[in-house]
Amino acid sequence: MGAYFLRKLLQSLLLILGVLVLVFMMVRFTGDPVALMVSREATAEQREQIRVSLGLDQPVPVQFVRYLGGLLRGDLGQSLSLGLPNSLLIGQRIGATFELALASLLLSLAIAVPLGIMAGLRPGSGMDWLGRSVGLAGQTIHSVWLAMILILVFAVQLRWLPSFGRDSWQSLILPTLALSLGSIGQIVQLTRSTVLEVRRENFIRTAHAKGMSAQRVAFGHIAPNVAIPLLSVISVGFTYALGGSVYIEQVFAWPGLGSLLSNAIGDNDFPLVQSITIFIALFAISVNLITDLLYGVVDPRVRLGR
Amino acid sequence: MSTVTVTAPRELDIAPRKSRSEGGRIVRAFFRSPAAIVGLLVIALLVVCALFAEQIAPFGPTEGDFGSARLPPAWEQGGTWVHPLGTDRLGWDLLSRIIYGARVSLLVGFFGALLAGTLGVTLGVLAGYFGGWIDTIISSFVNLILSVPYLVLVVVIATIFGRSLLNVILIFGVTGSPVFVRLVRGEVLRLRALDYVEAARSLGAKPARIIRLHLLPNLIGPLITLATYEMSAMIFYESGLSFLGLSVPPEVPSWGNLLAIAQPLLRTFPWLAIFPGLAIALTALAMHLVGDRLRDVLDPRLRESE
Repeated sequence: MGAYFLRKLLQSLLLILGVLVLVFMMVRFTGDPVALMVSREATAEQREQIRVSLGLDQPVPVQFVRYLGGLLRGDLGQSLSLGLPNSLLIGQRIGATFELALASLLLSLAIAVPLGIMAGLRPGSGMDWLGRSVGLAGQTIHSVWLAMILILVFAVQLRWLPSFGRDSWQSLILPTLALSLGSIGQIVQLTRSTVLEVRRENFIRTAHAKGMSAQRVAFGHIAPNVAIPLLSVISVGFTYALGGSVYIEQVFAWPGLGSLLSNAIGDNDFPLVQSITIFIALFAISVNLITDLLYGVVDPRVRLGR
Repeated sequence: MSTVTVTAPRELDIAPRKSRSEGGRIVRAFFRSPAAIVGLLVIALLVVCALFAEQIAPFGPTEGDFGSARLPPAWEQGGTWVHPLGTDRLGWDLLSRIIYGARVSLLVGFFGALLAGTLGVTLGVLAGYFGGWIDTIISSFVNLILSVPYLVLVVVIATIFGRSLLNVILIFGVTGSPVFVRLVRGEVLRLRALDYVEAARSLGAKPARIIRLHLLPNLIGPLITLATYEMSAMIFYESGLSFLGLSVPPEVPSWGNLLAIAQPLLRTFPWLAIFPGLAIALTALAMHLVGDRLRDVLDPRLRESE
């Protein structure tokens, strides 16, 4: 158990280091960061000044170690466009994104898991058709478009719900719906194929053969075995929500990390873009790690296997 | 000395009739699905639109006059069949822009998937066949890319590398390769342990020969299927990048750019958002219909339901 945990933890740390190196190198080696940051009219002295103030006159390894040291102290650098520490900006926005992502995750699980299970238990049935259609819809209907259609129907035509901002619980509804279709589709497909796979196992055939009712097979034998692989839907749902928030927050003017990121992109604010990415990546890796550890807890095969 | 003459029982029709080619069987099986035929027709229509946009589109992509600006679709009050889907606030014809927009989407989808596939197959074969430190490096790259929410990853890279069609294709090609690597690596690991590969190796076949003659042919089916799905996913993500202003320049008509233009005008000119989104959905749907059928026909093991 301990060895499994340690291995997973170490793997995650390596991944995090990899992400940091990747982002660091991408910013450093794709042209002069200063040229990207200052206006064209800046004098050579001004450029040199920025270069020194950012520590860019140092050798690259030194820069990387400094940057790592800063990260460990919670220093994510300064935003160019807003002139504030990135950590402060992210801190202000993280709550809203977390709220949205959590709402989307809960909604996705509540709809997709039952639907996927029912679809998987009766392939070819109406439920199965519905499940497959929802899965397909998630991969064909763009969340930006869905967001706009939702605004047109529920905010413009029916006037039931607000279409922007984060003022009341009602403002959460439309962004959550728009954000969730993709993850609902993904989770339905995952659940459905997991159920189909478990149904092919020999012990299910045995259970049927010894005359057990279909219902008891479903609840007693299939459900527990489906539950384990389904842990991964949590991280799938979260990752989807975090990614999708980049568009959705922009459409709904939701004051979270996603809209901060799209604004930073518009302003060419590289340090901020970089910090938000690193932050989201760390978050996603942590959620993955937690899921992996949970696997280890509930399923001995996982921690003993390999 | 007696000679034994063996005459084949003529009338007994056990032997396979005409040795029909495997390719022919697959093509015929593919066309037995009406959904797949519809999907293929839609894709063909899109390709024609992309290739002959100049001839098909009633107007140029940036051709129009303020006199005919802000027209609704033809069937609405005040619409005209000169501009069937209406015009935007500069008087640009929406239908024409959607037809031109097929170019960006198809180019990104096709070449993105091609590059991702080529890269993915190369790396996957290297990792799966040779193992060892090569596998460690390639697998780390795969895990690294897959650990970050895909959209966030693409957004950051696009921010840093600048905004052009070529860059978008390169970005999707590189970041899309890990899914191919996973598929190929797993299959190669499975296949290389099989007896016939072992036999080839013991006969002295070189790795290049084994890979080319014994491993790759088995991968063609799953690869074509995956490439179809990936093409659809890349078209999806490209419109997302366009929407955020990270793909082709804003004046180039791409479906995502059209959505971005439509967003601030959503309440007053909803059709500007509805039709480009519909184009994305229709394209993705067509590719999924074709992909599903290809999966069923090419790779029976992946077949979903019984």
